[in-house]
Amino acid sequence: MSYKTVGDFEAILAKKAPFMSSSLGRLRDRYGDHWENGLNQTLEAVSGGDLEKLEQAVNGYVRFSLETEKLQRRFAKEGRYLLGSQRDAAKEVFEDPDYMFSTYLPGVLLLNYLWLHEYDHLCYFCDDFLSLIIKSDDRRFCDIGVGAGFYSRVALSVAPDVVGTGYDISNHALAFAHKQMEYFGFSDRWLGENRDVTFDAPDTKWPFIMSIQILHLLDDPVALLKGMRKMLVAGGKGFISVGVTAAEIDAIYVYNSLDEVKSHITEAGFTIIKEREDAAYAQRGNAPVPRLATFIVE
Amino acid sequence: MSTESVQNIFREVFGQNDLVIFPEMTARDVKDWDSFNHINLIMGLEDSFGVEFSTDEIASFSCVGDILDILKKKGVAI
Repeated sequence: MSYKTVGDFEAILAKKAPFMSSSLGRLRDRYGDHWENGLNQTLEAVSGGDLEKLEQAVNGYVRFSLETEKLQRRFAKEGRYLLGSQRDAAKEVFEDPDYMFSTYLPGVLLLNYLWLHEYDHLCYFCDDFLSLIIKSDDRRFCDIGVGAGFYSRVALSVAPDVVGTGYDISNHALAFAHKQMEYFGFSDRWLGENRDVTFDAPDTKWPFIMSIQILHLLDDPVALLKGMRKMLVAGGKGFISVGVTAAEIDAIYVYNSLDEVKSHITEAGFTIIKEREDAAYAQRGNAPVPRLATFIVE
Repeated sequence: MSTESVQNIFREVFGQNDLVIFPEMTARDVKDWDSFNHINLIMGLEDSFGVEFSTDEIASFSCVGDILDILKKKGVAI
């Protein structure tokens, strides 16, 4: 099967950043049609079939990737992330519409298909967490820190009666996420709201809660985890993933190991049912490797 | 000579002692020129020439000629 928009994306990437273009072939060989179909849909949602918009998405992804790689080198030398607080991250990242729409949001959206460990994380989310939603009579979820809205969109796609609420502190992220929901026809099943759940937790409880790569962006991850615990109905399940030694532009809290994350999760009152860790690449010398620590909790 | 210095950095990053750079050279011409080594290259150039590249500049390097042009603009005698 051929996927036109992936083909167009690949051609643009080969011209703009040839040092990145070989990765698509490797991903295609490894994951096959399911991966390519998902990437094609995502690229079409971003570009609407417009080549100029597709090129902008490529540019954004390339900038985001290179910036992240450079930040990782800086972290390897200094042992700390670039920004010191959530306030700094809000000012430098989330409240900057140019940066958000040109670089951050295209980057965090497309990495789900273009970074191996992120696609493995997505597959785990679908196989081990969404399967729980499908089995449930109550198919409501809450997505804390929606970013580009990708994981909310994937959750909504599994069944027509899945409904979601998404919270984020960035209006730009919410606007981007809303557009994604519109494209996929999910607007009537998803509510996005600007709310900092750490300080302003809603009274509603959900059977399913997700927090995808958020905790390391916070000054106080345990405070959010405690709030999330209160938002879960008895017997409900959560999906929590966190960057470990993973420098990104908005990373604040340095988790050095899976165990450090686990201790925060259990401190907040969750029980860990499943866990996994995905490394971005094989160890190179002594430099810390970005990793994703993922947990299914209750 | 600075072009020779640039070439030496390429040779070191890619582990190829006989590598000869030319302006039209891209990642397709050099084994292991991926995004990881692209950043290694950039950091090698920054350290060697005492310059700093912005993310936009790094993202704009699609061939060796682009790198040489930006170095010239930053005052490096190429």
